[in-house]
Amino acid sequence: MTASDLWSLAWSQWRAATLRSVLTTLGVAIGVAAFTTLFALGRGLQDNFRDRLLRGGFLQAITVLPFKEGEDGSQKRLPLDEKALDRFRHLPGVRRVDRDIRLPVRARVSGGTGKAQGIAVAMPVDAREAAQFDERVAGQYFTSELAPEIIVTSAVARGLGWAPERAPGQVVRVAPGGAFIDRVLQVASPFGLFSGGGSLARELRIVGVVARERVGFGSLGAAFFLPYGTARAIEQDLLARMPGASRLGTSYSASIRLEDPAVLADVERQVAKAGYRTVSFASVLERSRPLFLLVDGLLILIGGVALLVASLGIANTMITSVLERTREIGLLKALGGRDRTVMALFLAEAALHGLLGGVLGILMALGTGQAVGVLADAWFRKMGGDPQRVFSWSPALLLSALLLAVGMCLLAAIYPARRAVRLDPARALRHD
Amino acid sequence: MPLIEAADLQRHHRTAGETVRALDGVSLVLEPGEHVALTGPSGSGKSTLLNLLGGLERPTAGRLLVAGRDLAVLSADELADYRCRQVGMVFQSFQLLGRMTALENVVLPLRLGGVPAAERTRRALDLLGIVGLAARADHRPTQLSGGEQQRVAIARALAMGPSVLLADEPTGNLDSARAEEIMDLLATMCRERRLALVVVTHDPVVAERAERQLRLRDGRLAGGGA
Repeated sequence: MTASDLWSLAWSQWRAATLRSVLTTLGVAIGVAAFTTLFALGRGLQDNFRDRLLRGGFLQAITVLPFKEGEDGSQKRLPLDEKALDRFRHLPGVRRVDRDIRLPVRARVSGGTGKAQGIAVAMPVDAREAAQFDERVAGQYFTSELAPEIIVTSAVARGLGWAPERAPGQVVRVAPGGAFIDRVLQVASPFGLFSGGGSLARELRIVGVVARERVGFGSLGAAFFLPYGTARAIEQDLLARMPGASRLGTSYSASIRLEDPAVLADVERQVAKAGYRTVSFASVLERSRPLFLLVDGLLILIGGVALLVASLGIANTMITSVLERTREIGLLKALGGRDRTVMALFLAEAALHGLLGGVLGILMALGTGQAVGVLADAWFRKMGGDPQRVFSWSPALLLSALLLAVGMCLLAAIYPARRAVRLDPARALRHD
Repeated sequence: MPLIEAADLQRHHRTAGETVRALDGVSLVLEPGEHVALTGPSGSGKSTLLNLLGGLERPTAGRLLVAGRDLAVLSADELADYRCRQVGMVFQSFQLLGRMTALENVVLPLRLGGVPAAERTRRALDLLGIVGLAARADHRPTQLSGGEQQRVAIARALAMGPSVLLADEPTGNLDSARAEEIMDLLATMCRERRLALVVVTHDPVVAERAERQLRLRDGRLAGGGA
């Protein structure tokens, strides 16, 4: 019997017991839908997380700390100077290396009462960094490395007295300032006349406002962002006023930014070989992989239970079918059907349930995904965030779901099909 | 050469710890085109003999040659092929598949025999024409009378061009007029195609039509058979 004959007979049997076939197929469909949806959810959440990290530059950045840990647990400080940074700049796959500049600053509105205080972080000025400002509320990214510009968080904008969307274009006076800096500058003042950081103030134009302090690796907790060159100039002014301090700089760490996240492990290894300690989000993430696998495993387990229940339904339907069609099986054998033909016929029927249930289940999963996606978008918008991808569908996932559905149905049908094969044709024909 | 040659054919069943000798040493010879009636009381072994001839059961002992092949030594697949190509079977309860049309029922053995799609439809329609049901090819068994259903079953039995036709009470579910029609049809088919016809029957009228009557009692042929 040819494959098309098998399918045609299987289809005729499917139609002969329509209600039962529909219910069984629906059981498979629900199992497949649950499995696929949960798998896509697990994948989607991870992809979403990873995308956000990638967009934020977290996966392309390594923070270098100037410490070397001795075998006895002691720490030795290493210079994190231009010479050291140059070594890193020549490593393959490295895009740029910068000292991390984080300055405590005070900002106030010229001739106004609004003021704000917080950490200012220096940002490299190029297209990639600009792209990371995807949660910008208003305005734009810096125009150049030395531009007298500043980006603030919405909280800072409000502190200065403006609604976030009205802040761009406004000019603020920004000066290094904070308890420590004030004290150092006071001591350093030769005549004891306190001038504070205020004398170092620069007028900067607000070009952009961001929703949160989530811009890039190393910029957590920032309230202000400065173009790298501008930040460096402010830092130099400050160091010039702090005798003996210029050698130290204000940097505690450096950031290595990569061309491609794929080279991260190599670069990190090289930097570590030079004796520096490194921190990267990617390596933290890598260490969290077992956790992700556990979450994946749990979701697959829940989906798998649904599929298992569906396959029990298939086994039940097929066993009932064998019992009900005992005479038919006897007839098939009497007419010359070989054992493997009878086997193939029952397996084809099960595969048909799997195929139809699989396709329907995938459609149900995609529909559920669509509906949940719309609801999630609305929820995220209401909560003031951006729409997020909740599910991650891939052709490989959908194809695997289909194959899994057919495979489970075939597996569930093996016992009933073997029962059919074992039937004695002469007795089967006499069966009531 | 005889078409069927059985020598000391035995078929025993174990039921509730006891051995039942359903057939107990039957010997017979059947020539091509011969029409034989198998009669005897219930439980005498008629259906068992028919099942052995049809390759549905294997003999416990003895020899059964059909067209020179010993059925006892055939593998399961070879026996299935024998049922497909050498034997046509007609049953008292017709054994048509209710979900299929008359045409599809006749096509079924042709599918199992691997006949190409176009060829099998042509052959099945021809046979339905021969049994007088060309116009009812698309009807399902429930839409046909008992006599018509048995005609479809006869067309199905002839589909693969067998050399022997085995009929188990083919008129048992029909009134006398329909029974006569069916027996006429079977006799004509077998004569025209030189098929051996073995009919199991309780009906003396049906038995009378055979060239030879074999009477079974307690698993043996009355008068020794052959």
